[in-house]
Amino acid sequence: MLLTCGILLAVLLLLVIFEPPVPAPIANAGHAVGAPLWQLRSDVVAAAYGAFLSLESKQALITENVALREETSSLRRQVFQTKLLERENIELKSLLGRRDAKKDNDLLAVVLRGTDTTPYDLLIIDTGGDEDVVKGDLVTVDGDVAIGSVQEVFASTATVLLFSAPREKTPVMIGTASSSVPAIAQGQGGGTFLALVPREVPVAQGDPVSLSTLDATLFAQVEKVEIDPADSFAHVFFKNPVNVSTLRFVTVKKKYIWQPNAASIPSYEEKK
Amino acid sequence: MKKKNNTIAIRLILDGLMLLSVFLLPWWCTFAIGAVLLLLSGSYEIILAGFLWDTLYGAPTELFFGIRYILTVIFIVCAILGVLLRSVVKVR
Repeated sequence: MLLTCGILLAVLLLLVIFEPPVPAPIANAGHAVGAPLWQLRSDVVAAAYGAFLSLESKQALITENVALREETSSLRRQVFQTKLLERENIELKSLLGRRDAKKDNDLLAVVLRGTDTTPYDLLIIDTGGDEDVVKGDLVTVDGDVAIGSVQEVFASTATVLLFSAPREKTPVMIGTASSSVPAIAQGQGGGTFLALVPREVPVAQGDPVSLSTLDATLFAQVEKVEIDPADSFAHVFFKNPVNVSTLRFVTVKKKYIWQPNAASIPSYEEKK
Repeated sequence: MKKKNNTIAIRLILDGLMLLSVFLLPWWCTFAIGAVLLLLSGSYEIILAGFLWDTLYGAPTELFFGIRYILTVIFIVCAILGVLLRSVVKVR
């Protein structure tokens, strides 16, 4: 018994203290085996969902309902995008002449496994080193809604850690052009975030939240603002304008490396 | 002898299910199945399944204090607890 416990404890300490890197051949082999299984699983789930819908007597109504919801969601995103573009337009007036090569580097990827894979909002996508995807590439949905960055790259697959992973911190800008404020978005899981801002800052429900980058990539929408009279900070809750648990496709923005430097931005949470 | 063969067969089936759960089931299924097997039966090969899970999906996140091999660590703790538990209740 003591020997068994000793060996297990030694392995445990080895993993926690030294954190040896995962051997690349093992990781690549695992993903090579996993990719077809994940694709099969994805197809089976989609087929089962379709079969379930076809059994419903109100299928036409459901289809229309889904289409309308998607249309509403799309229109809502367009409104937010317009607000962001308004701000971006003002900021870029002094930067005329920059060439926009973003679209040339966009890569569509299929989501092989969704957020139910891990407890920390991780996706597995079907593009990897073969398509020159590198660690840190920004991952978006519907064009410009940023949801995460590439965490690890394998031969034909890659893992994407979402910004909403619990306790992950991302520097963002909350609000519109006239009154935006920098903040640190702390992931809460499932596409939701929390940030603390001084309560004097005018933040309201529906305000857009963007990544604090030059082109102000759309990030989330403010859902709720909680202000406690005894607290000098307002708790701002926001979430991605897309449902991250049902994603089927994402866009990898190659050569758009997301290198957040959260430590360099004042964190109201830490000040508090 | 027959009983021993049955036990090995059951163990192999459970190991196969565990392996499938790593690839196909949500994380909480893998966590639960592995923890129960380690606590009750002492199937140490489950730790390898945990290592495979970490190899495929592991990420050093803030949620688990930057530990990349989180499921392997959890399974090792379960295995140690299982050894202690079985020694206390005298179950082989």
